[in-house]
Amino acid sequence: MAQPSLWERLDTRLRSITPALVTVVMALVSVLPIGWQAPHPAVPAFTLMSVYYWTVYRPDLLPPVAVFVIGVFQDLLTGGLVGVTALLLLATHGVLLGQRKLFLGKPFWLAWIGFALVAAAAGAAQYLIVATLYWTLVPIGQAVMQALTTVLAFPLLAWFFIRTHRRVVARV
Amino acid sequence: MKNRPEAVFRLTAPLKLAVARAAFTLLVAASIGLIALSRTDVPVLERVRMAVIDIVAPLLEAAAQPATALQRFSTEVRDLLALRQENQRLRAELERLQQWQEAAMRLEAENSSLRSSLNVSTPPAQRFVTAAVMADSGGAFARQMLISAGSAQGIVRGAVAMVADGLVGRVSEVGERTARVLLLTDLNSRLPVTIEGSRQPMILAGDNGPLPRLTYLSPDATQRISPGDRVVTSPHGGAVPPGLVIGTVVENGSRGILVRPAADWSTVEYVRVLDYGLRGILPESPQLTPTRGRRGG
Repeated sequence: MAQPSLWERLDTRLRSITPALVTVVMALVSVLPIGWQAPHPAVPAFTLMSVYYWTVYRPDLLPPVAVFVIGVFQDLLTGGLVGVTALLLLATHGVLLGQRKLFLGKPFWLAWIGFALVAAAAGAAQYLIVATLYWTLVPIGQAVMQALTTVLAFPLLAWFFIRTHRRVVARV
Repeated sequence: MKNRPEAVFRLTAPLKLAVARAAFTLLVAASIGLIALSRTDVPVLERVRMAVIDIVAPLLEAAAQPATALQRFSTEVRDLLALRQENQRLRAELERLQQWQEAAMRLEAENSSLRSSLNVSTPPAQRFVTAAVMADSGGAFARQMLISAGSAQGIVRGAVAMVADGLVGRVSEVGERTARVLLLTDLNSRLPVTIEGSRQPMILAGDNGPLPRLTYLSPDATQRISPGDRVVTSPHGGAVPPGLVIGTVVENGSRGILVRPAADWSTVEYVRVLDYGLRGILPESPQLTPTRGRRGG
């Protein structure tokens, strides 16, 4: 077989970093000023969805280092405590690596239920971390709203991930 | 010969797994370390943060454009649907405001004649920088926005950000071309305020909820506050220009004194940042500027 040309190698490389790129875009999307700030801010945790999807279906293309860097990047953007999102995404990634076979080849609703559990756990963990570190009771309604919108928005984003997966990533 | 690669594979697989595990543990430890660093507010982290944001600013600005267009479109559709009602409301408001205009003009004349007879020195007019909102963090745990002006435009830490309706927050971090505004409602926001007309100093503290609360006031002062009272910035401490509109008290009860911010920043595209950079050139002693209790009526 002939050596792959430069163009082909570049193409493969771009395709293989697509999951990480998509996750970076998710981090940017979550800070877009389109008014989900007020009055009841509930921006879905877009990066969590992306990390969940790619960890289950293509963990080889989303290494923990990428997860960490993207988490820190998002924290720098949103201005929250740096490291919290990184820690939550890493934990999600780590836990899912062991459980991903549960979802492979199963119907979508099962992955959705799995995601709902992950989102609830991540939301609760984040709430506890922030409340403990600032030693104050943050209104819990906001956190619950955020977790809910995250779970409800998942199918929409999953549709986007699946399309990207089939069209761009499948050949890698 | 044929099973040699497999043997190598068998050997390296556990090794690879061990390395991966170690790397993962290291990353988790790094995250926890970062959280600790960030909680103690090390200046290095702030500089890194603003440097990163300066770098991605063009990207954010580009991404914000279609988002803003989308938002405008949805607002327009909503406006069209509510056209009749809106028209009626505006007519009523116009009538009310015309009365106010008359009152304001009368007061202005009276004010200027009194000023000239008393020889009052007026505070210099505020300079401001207008900046576009590039990003707002809408997570449940941070209430901040990034704006497209920084130290290059003369923005300094602690400067006040406003929209037409009132105060939005204060600049907490400044990059070269970007700055971060800590909104009134953020967990870390503490602002010296007072009730309009009184000179009672108090602090408006955010908790990430939609309604920040008034703290650090005497039980006596607490009793005198009732829903509908207007909250404005206070001259105490000289941290912010006095008399800027913040919001109105909506509740004084078991949950504390809750304030609804006057500024609606859900659809904000631009904010004005009061320019403190010029303060060094135009010295202004906050002690001498009177609180203007009548302002805005």
